[in-house]
Amino acid sequence: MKVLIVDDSPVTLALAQARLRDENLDVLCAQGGVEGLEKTRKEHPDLILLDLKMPDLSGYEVCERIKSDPELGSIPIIFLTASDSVEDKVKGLDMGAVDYVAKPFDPVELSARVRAALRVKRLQDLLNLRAQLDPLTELWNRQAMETRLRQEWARTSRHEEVLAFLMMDVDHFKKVNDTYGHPAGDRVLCAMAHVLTVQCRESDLACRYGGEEFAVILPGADSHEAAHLAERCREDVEQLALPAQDRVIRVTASFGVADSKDLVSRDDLLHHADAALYRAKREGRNRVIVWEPYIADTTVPREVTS
Amino acid sequence: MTDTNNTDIEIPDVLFSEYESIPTIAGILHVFLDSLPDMVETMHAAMDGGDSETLASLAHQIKGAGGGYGYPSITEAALKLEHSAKESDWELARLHLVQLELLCVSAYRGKHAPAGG
Repeated sequence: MKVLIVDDSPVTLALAQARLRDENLDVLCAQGGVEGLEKTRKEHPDLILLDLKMPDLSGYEVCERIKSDPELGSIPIIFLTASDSVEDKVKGLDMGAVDYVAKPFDPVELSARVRAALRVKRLQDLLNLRAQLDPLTELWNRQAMETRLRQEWARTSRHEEVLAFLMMDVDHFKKVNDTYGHPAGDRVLCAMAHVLTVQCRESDLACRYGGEEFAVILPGADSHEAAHLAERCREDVEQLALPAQDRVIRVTASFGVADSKDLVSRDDLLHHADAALYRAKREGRNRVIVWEPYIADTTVPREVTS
Repeated sequence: MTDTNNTDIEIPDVLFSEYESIPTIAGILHVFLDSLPDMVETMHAAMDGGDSETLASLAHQIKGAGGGYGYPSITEAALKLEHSAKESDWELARLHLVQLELLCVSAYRGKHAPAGG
């Protein structure tokens, strides 16, 4: 894990770094508050040891800026303080610091407090990750997908790049559940997730959108490239043979694909992929349809699409 | 509570770090010791210029580092100096600064001319 030490004194930095070296941590140093903020933004450390008194930017100011930044606010902060004042310590804790260590620090105590803060951070990260995963398929859930889409959309717009969105829906999934039971239906959904995981690039984000519907965000890809991915997934799904009771479940899936070219809203991207998916269903299922302007008027209520 | 006004600090000829036997600390003692001459000189200049803020701030820094490098007596002397500087008690501050400087010299000696040297 990565720990950032922020202190205006190189003497303290060297000492803290030496003290934490044995903890098997990636220790970074920043001399002063301004550099501390810069390194926090760039490195996203798992823990910050923050000196209170720094001439360029005080520890309080650094803490306040970090805690008010949604991207950085969850990073735990331990104040390092040579101050005896209870008010200073209380103020630091009230601002969101998880702990403080008095300088000169006792080597054993510093290491123990760092270990404790990192233990809590690991648990928080785990909980945070769990909250973003679909428990059945272990793909990202819809909420995580929406957060990531918002970020990718902003990044894509900033760099004038392109972004593709793919939607996949299992054909006649209700019939699978009705015929083989819900546990078998769950196995089909897990198999779908596996197909997506195998076929997606590392930079893609596959999620369970809801029910038997899945989605993939493809940063840097256009709808042509996304259609290739969709076609590979469609073929894989078609090849699936899942044993159930004394029979074999075979399923197919339909795909709708769109990209962000010429779009001003990410909602339009979702609507386009959704409309293309509906078109795929209407044209007979088990196919990939790329959004084209002629599809625009064919959108129907979601419940008709399965 | 620490009595920050008394002047009773023992100053040995040679001062060794309590962490001399810990390789990670022994290896960086020079970072602390080499920073002291400049800091002491700046503190003298601050005292001569009546700049109690700079004097207290530098004493505060040494206070925070000394014990960490295994020199609790340096932290103690720096604490007294910080306090007297904040109080603008120049007579006491001058005495505390001299004590701090002597301790720094002893520590420097301990590092560069170990036991019996």
